[in-house]
Amino acid sequence: MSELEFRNVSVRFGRGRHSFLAVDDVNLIVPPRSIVGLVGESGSGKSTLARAAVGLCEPVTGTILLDGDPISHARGARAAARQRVQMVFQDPYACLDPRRTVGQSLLEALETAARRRGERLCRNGSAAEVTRLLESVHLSASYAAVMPATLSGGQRQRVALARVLAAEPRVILADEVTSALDVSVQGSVLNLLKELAAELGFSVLFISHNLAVVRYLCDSVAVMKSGRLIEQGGVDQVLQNPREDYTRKLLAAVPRMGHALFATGGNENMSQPIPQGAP
Amino acid sequence: MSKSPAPEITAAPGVIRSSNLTSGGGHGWFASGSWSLFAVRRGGRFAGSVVALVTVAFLMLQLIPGDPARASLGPTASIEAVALRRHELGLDQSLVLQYLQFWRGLLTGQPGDSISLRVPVADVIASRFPATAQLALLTLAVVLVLAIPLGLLAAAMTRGGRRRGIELGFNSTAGFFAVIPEFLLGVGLIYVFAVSFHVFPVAGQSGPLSYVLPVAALSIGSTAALARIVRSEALGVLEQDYLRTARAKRMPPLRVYLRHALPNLMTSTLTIAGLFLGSLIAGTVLVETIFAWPGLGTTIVSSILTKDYPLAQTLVVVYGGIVLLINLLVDVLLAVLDPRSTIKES
Amino acid sequence: MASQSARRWASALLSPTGIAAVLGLAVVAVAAVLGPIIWGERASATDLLALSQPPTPEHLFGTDAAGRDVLARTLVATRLSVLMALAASGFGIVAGVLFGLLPGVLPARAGRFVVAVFNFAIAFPGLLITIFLSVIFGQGSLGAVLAIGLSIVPAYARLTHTLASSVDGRDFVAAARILGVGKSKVVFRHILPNIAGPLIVNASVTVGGALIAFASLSFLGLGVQPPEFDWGRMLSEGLGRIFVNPATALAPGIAVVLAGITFTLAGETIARATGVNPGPSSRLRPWRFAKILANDATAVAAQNAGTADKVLSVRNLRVAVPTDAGWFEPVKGISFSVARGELVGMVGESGSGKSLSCMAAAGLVEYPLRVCADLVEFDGVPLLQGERRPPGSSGRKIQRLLGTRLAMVFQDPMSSLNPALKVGTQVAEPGFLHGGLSRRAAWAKAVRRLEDVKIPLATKRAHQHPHELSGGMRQRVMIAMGLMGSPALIIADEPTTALDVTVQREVLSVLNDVHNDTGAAILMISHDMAVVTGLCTRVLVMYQGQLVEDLPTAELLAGKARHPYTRALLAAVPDMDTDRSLPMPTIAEGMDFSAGPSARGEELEEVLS
Repeated sequence: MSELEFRNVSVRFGRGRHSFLAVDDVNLIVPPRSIVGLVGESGSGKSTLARAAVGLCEPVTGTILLDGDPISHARGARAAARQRVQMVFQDPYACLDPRRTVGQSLLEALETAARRRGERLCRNGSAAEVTRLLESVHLSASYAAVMPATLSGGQRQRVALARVLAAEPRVILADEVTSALDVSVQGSVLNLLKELAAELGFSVLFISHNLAVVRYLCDSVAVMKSGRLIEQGGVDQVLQNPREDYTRKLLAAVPRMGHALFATGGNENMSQPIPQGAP
Repeated sequence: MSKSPAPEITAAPGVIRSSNLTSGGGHGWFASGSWSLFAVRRGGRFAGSVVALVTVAFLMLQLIPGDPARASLGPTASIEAVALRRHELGLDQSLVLQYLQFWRGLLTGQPGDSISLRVPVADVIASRFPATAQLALLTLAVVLVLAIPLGLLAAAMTRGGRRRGIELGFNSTAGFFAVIPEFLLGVGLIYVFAVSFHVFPVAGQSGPLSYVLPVAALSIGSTAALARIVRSEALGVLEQDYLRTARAKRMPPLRVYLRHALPNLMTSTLTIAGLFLGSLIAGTVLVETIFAWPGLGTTIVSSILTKDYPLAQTLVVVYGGIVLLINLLVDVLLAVLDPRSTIKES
Repeated sequence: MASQSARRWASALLSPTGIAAVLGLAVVAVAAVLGPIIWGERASATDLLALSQPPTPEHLFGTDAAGRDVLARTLVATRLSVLMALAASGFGIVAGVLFGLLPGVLPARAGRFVVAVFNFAIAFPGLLITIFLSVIFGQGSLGAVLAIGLSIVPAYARLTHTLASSVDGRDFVAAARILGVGKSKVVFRHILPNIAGPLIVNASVTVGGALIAFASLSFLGLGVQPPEFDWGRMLSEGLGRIFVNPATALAPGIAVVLAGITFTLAGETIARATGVNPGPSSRLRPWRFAKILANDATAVAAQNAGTADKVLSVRNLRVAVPTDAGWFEPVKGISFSVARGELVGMVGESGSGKSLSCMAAAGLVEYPLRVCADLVEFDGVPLLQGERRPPGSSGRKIQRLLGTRLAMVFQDPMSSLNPALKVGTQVAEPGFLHGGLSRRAAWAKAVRRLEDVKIPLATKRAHQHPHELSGGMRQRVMIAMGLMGSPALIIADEPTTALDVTVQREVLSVLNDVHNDTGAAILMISHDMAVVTGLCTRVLVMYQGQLVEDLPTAELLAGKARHPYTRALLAAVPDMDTDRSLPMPTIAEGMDFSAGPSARGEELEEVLS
């Protein structure tokens, strides 16, 4: 049962005259066992917010808390607490060290987690642990010996998820985890994330520009624009009855299957939605 | 170009691209910079570098193990002579005072007298600087005029793995000439053109013909190395999406290369050419020695061999200053040609 | 993986470069180890009767001023020359790499200071640093080693730092940090192994450079002092008598050059073997397209339909790509057409060959790729028959036609515009090159076209460079560029993939307006079913290099897709109306639909588990 809270968080990049606030006074709570969607256009600061939570950049003002304990500007024990917040990245081709096997990558994560708990991994136990991690993301144990170069994008994202699980995360920040994947693979990765979240009880901050996916996966949604959080609420409320004009504009811009994009388009009879017939 | 052991420009240009040379590190976040900001920052860096250079040149004398005065006179010199030399070198004063006087000498243009030549250092430099400058600039012109078209042509002919034969020929020829040290090339040129065929003078600076061999010795290796780098840079540019756009517009090939590819090459080529000019300056030291060229290069070597410390120190400042100035000029030129680099800079 | 790297090593070592490098290194090694043992005596034996002799059978390269055999001395000098080069390089490289990695371990401020120090030092050419240091260390071999070693440090530190910085920003390093892996572990476990390739390659080149630097230094009299001798010392002595006896300078000269070239070649070989710089891939036999008749239904239909009302007709188009494993055909004979004024979408996943097909149809696929088609006809003019343009057609005329009647919009507006040229110039270009306009008139027309694609302040924008424009604006500039002629067809290759949804809508709206205003047909390639079905009236689906579906959008949406892949793809697209209580429909990875509708139709339910 853990809760990630951003309290008045601002992140500034650059110094002096040319600096700007990438994240501007954001308050956001990711409740226990929930999936919160974070949407917005590129440059709106959604990735920066996530990076601040895991310490890749530090907020200039405000605090990030896990279960009420601050984890920003972390040192020592606090830094260890912060390791319970983990992140999965967008690019499946950059998220795994190309020089290390899948097993080595997972083992490193296990070792680090063990050290945090003050334990040591024994040799036999660690191999079993690696297998367990791989199986939890529906990959067979034989993948441990494989180099990332031979994996597909979807498989890499599974491995990345497995590595994150090694840290026994309470919150996972998923930054556009499927936007680099083909639509056919996207579904399986998202299903896996949802299934694991339910099973292991971690909460997820799901960053995406794909509103359809956010609607599918998330319980609540927050909308960011130019570094500010402008709207948040239940997923149906925000996506069906948005309060903000910007959210409305964002929603209107999403192309929908079976809806003509432009009323004056080449196909007049398509301005009305056509019921989707595919299975 | 000097055959310095620095790995970056001497060889394997395909491996090391200009990106490794131009960017010092990650400046991820920047907003649009202005010219004045650029001027202040770049000027500040130049000033800082000059101070560092002068300090290092000053420390050179202090870092010599043992007593520099004794070292310069040899073990047989009398104690009085050594004391006198110590006084001449200012070594009997406090370090701070010596440092200040070193600065004063440089700033007033009177950095003392040369020990071996018994004339003011400033006079030596004034009389010898022009010969070196002529040699270096002429060489640079030759290198740029030859290397850029050659590299671009080679890239255009061999892009996408076309014409493997030409690629092999170009790479091995250029690679061969880039590896031969200029002093060796100089020796070879002297032997063939001066000793055997008597086409050009053997040594010295006397009329236009006397420039041919030194310039050739200095420029052949640099031209080969730069042409290789230009080719590999050009191959990179020719792969870019915007050249596909140019081809999609069905531009004539010449326009694609000259109007669309060349400007994008200039940034990296100039950056590298700047480094080359720095190396050329160093290369003049060797070539001047071979051709008995009356420039600074022969002077710096003899000043070290004769342990003429005041002259050597000043020459280090002069050579280093020239290199820093070249870097400054290249950066300004780049900023004019490619405003984005200005922004990145600041 | 192991076999692949072994294969790369084998091919690198067996290339002419590799063989030369191995032979050269062997000769250098033998001379360095055995030289002083075999020829040591001969090299120091003075023959007072043969001072400064020209080459004789007894002394192949003559004798020096003291009557010593030059060849023997050159061979003996190998050990000192090579050892000094190795020592200096080893010292310089190790120190440089450690220095270069330091900023990654130190706190940010200290790291920046370290970077500033070696950025200052690197401004100075190695030889100047060496000369400077040789003043301090004095003349002699130890001083020379220290001087040259130190002069290598800044360059190597910078190289290491730059390489490390490029790896440092990668996600896997960030992931390790987030997991809590320590700073130095990150550096030595994740960063160093990933930059080792280029560092090793450069190490070899550095040894070659150091060899020459020592020769230079000794040549200037600042390096090795008598009675020790290396190649540079010998050269310097030989040069003094070049008029009398050129051979004395020749032997050490040859030695320096050969050793230098050897180390450079070794560097290139390692670069090729480690994949740092792949070099020319092994030469494949020229590709011959096997004769395959276009016999699937779409092709027959295309053949039967006339091409008169088509702006683009493609029949049995194939593209072959050379790879390490041999030739590969990512486009396996597809046929389709676009009618005048039609809006056609082409969908498929990455690697399905959709982009490549359209580039091939537009004549933009270049060597070493090969294209062949029964026919590609654009705007009534055949462009391609077999592997070349039809006999009798004029290449110039075809280029002009394509330049004025075919517009292209590419995926990434950031990289598709030339960063060095003004926006106006790039838009105006087709006007004065193909349209016969003066430059001034072309510029004026370009500004009007920029206004047409709704670029505010077009006059001002025309004078700007692409980096001053937003992504959506750049994509509109691309469209404006195509409008300089009178396009009959616009091929848009994922025109909005890199853009935000709101910007995507603007760009698509501009495309749609252009279509309505000019009647230009649009062939839009996209991976986004919703975009394609929202804009286009007909949809082509590509799968593994084949066109598996060609039907009107309305029929597709009505569930009339024949091919199981199309149906699976449609089902996998999440929508704003999808039922959230069910898991998302997926297509199992590795699922093969290539057997076509008849064989796979039954299994669809399984697929959509």
